[in-house]
Amino acid sequence: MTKRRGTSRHPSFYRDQGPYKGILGWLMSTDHKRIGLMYTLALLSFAAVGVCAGLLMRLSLIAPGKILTAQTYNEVFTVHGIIMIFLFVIPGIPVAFGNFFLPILIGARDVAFPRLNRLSWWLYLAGAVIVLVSLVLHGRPPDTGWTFYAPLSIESQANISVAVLGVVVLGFSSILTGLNFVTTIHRLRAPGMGWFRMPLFVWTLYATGWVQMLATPVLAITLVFIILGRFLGVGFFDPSRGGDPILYQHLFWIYSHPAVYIMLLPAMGIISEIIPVFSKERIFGYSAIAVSAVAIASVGSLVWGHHMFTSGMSDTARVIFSLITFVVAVPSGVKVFNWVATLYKGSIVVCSPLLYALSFILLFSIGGLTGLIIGALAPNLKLHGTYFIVAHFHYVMFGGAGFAILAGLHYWFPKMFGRMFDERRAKIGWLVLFVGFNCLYFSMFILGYQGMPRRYFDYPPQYFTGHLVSTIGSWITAAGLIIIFGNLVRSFFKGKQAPANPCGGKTLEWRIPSPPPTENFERLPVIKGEMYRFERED
Amino acid sequence: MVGTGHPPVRNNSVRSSSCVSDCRGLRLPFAFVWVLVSLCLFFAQATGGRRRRCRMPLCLVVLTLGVLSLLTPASSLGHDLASTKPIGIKERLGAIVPSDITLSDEQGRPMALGAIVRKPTILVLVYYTCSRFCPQTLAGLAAALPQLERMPDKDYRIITVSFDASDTPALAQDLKRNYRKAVQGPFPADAWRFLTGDRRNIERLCAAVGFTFRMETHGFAHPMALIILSPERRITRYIRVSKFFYGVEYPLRFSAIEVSQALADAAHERIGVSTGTGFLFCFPHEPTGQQRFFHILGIVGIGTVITLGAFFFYLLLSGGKKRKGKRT
Repeated sequence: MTKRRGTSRHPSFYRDQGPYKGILGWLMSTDHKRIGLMYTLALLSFAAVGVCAGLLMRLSLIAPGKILTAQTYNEVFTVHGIIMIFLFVIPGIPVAFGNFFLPILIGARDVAFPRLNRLSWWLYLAGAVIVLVSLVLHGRPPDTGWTFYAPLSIESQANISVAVLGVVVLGFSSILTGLNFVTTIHRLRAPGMGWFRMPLFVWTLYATGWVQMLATPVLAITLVFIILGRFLGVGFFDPSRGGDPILYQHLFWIYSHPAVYIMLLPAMGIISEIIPVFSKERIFGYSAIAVSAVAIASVGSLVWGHHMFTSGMSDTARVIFSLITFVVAVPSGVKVFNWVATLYKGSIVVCSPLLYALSFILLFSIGGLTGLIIGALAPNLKLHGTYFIVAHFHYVMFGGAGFAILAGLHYWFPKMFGRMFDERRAKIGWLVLFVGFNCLYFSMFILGYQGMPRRYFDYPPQYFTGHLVSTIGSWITAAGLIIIFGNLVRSFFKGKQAPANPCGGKTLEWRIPSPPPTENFERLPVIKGEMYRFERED
Repeated sequence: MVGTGHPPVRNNSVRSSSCVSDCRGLRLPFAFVWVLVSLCLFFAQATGGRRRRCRMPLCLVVLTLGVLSLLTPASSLGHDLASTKPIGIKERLGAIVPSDITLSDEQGRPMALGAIVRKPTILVLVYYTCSRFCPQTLAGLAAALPQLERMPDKDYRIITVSFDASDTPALAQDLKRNYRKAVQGPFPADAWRFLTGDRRNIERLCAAVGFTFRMETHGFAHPMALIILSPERRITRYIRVSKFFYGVEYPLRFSAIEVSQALADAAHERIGVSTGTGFLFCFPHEPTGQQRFFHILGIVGIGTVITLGAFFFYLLLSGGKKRKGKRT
């Protein structure tokens, strides 16, 4: 830890504990960097649990019935879904990198409401604990899938209420984080930093903040209805009591589709930061990327019906939802083309963050384009509820948000931890992960196209090869993750001291020491001109 | 159980529901504007200095009244249109369907049932504007037809009759075109007829085969079955639709063997036995009070959007304020 102390004039935030000592110095801290780091650690721990559940599922699928019983399989995929979605990827980038870097990127000393930020973190912890308790409490772990679809979630004998309560608490954490970030971005920008001089990651956090505030309350109220249904017999979703199960699906997806953008928008922000730095080129179409983030957030809030094309909806509604789904692909396409245009004629330095970013573009494009296939009405009728959906979903979530988190982790690792990581090992880890990922999920596209239904514990023999390839892919993916995180953990302890700006970034975080001092900036910076100005070396 | 009551005609339902929505239509925009105005007041006072802040409770009262007024008309939305008449099929095996029931064919020409049913006939009672099980039943039947070991028109015929008196021959013509296409391979035009009729004839037909249905707010509730008639118009068999196969191409399926056997029996005027298991019902599900629930959702949603909009403008207009001093 000695090298993380910083200079005597600017003690690093690791050293400055505030009034509390030891672990309380972290838990009671209102420093956005400390909170961001704690979030990162928590997120990665939960992700590890989720990965293990995923591996177990894949293992069970090459020998159905030999490793897990059908009921256990249901529970394992539910646990995998709940942990990965609600504890890892939805809070994901905003709470980890957003907390750490948002104030630094806009030249502020902290977020607008530091104590509210700490409350968000505590609520996140509380929600996570409640969710985890539901797994081990007397009775069965939840077995409904992460969507908690009614009427199954009303009737299931498992610990649904506890899990759902945990998710509600997590939702409040999310709302407060969104509120905090939006206010911070509005009010604490450094002098001279106009809206269109903000780093693009900040733009995406801004759009995400609004989605969090607007959509998450719907999830909270929906899940409260489930709890009311289970305990008091209030039949919001029960036809025999005058309710409607389809209503649950509408309410659930009114939140959960925008939630996809809560996960993805900041991921796109990270990629927009990395690409110009490693191609030493001004970002192409800054305003288009910035505005497209807001466009994705707003249009993306209106497409929830495409999850329910086969659930019973009028044709008019289905056509409209399908059309808006196609529209939301436009701003996503704008981003992808702008990233590629930035790389064009740039002095590209192939470092590990760029490799992750490039694989993000490829995998997200596959995920996005297959999203259009299932967003069209006719193919959706065939592919709905098959492995095709699972593959699409993982290409977007893991290939998109997951790879962006890894990209961000490698990009900002020197800044966050004050150490350099081993570049060669990081690249090997990337290659193994990339191969394993495609092996694991691309085979699911084929399985789904052939008709393998999702969530099934068993299958006819003709699907065996696909499942086998996928399971072998899951082992390669796990090996890749072990190499990547092994390297990062090793570097945390044994890496070389990181300079302030190891990769030549132009945004504000690279102008302060690594790791940053507690107050971030000795004097608040004054912004003159745009952020992404790279002098050409040739 | 036999349908003796008057099946309500759909035109009535359209009239009465539009009447209800008229009443609602007057109050809804009014209440919406009320909520909007009070929220603007609220916002203006919250941001407008200390002196005026004492009026905030008044503002909240206005807001609450607005919300309440939006809720009130919703409570008058009853479901009085839908009766509680029981629905189902009371099997009348062996009974003869009257020959003088007159229905219209796809061109609107009147046809007596006696003139159509001269061969073993599959009678399907549906309504043509249905978007639930009726089309799936017909699609399932169309899928089963090529597998029957009997020649259409020569060995059997199908008549689909709409029990909705407001269905028109033009609609029937459209459906006929669709379902003839859905049958794999050529299918003679006269072998599958789509008929419509007036209320009296529909009622007589339904009574003769023991079929009761009920009008709901958005469609009808009714059982699903294939009724097999012999050349003498005798009811020889009810083939029940009792299972929905979720997620497959034809969720409602018919066994070709069972249908073939039933047609063979009908050809020889042999009366089948009742299978006794339950029917699948086709019905629109629109729970009472759902409208009210949607109103509440709408208000909460609009409220959220307005609040966040106000928050956005507040942030925008109040400008950037720099934090001074150290963190806690």
